[in-house]
Amino acid sequence: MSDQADALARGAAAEGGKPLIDSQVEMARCIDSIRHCMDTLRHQTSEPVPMGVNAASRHRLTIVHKEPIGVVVAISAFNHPLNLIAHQAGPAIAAGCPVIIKPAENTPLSCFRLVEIFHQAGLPKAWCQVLVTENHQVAEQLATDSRVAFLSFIGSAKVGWYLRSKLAPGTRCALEHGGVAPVIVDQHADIEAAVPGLAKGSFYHAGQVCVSVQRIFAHQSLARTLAEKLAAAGKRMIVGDPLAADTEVGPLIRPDEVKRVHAWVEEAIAAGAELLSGGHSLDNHCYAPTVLFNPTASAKVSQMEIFGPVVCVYPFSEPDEALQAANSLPFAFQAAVYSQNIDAAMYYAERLDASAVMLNEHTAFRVDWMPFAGLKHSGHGVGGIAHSMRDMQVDKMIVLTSKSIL
Amino acid sequence: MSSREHFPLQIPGITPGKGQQVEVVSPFDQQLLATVETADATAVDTALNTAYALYRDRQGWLPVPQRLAILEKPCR
Repeated sequence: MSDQADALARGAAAEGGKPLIDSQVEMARCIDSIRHCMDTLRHQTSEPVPMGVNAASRHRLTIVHKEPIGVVVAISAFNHPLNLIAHQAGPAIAAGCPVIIKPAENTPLSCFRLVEIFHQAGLPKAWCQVLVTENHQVAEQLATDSRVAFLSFIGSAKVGWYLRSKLAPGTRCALEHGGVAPVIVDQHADIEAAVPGLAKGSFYHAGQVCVSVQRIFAHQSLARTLAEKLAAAGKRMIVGDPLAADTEVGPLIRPDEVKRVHAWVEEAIAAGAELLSGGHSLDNHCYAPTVLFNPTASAKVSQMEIFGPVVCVYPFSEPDEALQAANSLPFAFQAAVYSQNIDAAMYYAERLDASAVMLNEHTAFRVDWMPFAGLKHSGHGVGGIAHSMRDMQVDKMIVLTSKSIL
Repeated sequence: MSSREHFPLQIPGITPGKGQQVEVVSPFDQQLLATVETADATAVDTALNTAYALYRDRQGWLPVPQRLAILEKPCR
């Protein structure tokens, strides 16, 4: 894998549209994720349970060790075609589970290539099978079969919750969906320092990331300035061929996604949002990085995951007004607060509906050993290598009884 | 990388070449990157049978040192 890293990154950029510079970062993270699977497995220990502490437990020694849970089915998403496979299949291999992967239909090639490397490394083919199903019914059959012990699903909330409702009795699952991520920028924020990160978090992989910055609630004293600086940053970004070395924003995954994103932007503008940058498609299925100022709360861009290079800035006057708006949706994943005032930052961090709150960092920040969890409609269970491995194992307690045990 | 790579179905017990094919294209210019053979209900059932049989055969479980070696080799 290390010696094929550049080819794998180029392949991922070609099929998924993530710019090469970001695909190379993803490839490096993919290798780190696999290393983290090894580290987690190496440091996994059997745990004793106290015995010999009363008459009932006398003459006994007890140990709890880990067993594979059973067959793992991993249904993956298109937006990180290498590292998501590492996050879903790596822990399954480490845990000792047979795994069947259904990669995203738009980006299966990276998965095939990655798994082939594991097969070459000695993993018997039957222990990690990759398949693209011919239709959604067959995919549902795969996920909901009674032989499946654990379903790892990354994708839309609609499909994820539907599949969870259809799982066979006993099948456990982890779901990872989108977050419509909120950011609060208070009056104490250093917006010069904040804008580069917010621009990256908004437009990284053309916004097709579950923790992409989408809703920025900025204090009214600086909201306009922040939005204009973000718009300027968006206009400077190089948009286009994902395989070009200097591209910062690539295409959306399918042409119909470009149309959908544009329709949402037009709807927001028609309802009163001010367009500060972008707002139009470009050649070759790209969409210009777009900043909308003060869309209505009922606009689709304020209510649902855009999954496109569009960010919204909303002015607020009182902290609880920003919190109420940020927490108003049925989605919650990662959030962010920008402030140089620690009391203010912690006020927001403690009150935001989120599984993680970044302080002076954008919402898309992630390293692969972090717990990573959608709340409310955004997911079920906790991702991250060690957490996924725990999900894919069961504890087995062995109780040894012997009169020789004092 | 070939521009017309093909990925046949690789389910142990299923003969490749009989399934439908889907095209994988570049989202940037819609250039054909590869074709992939898809799995139907029978192929999925076979894959699940294979995986479940591996799980039920405890004597055949992959020991930890083997799993570590499989994970480590690609990272070198």
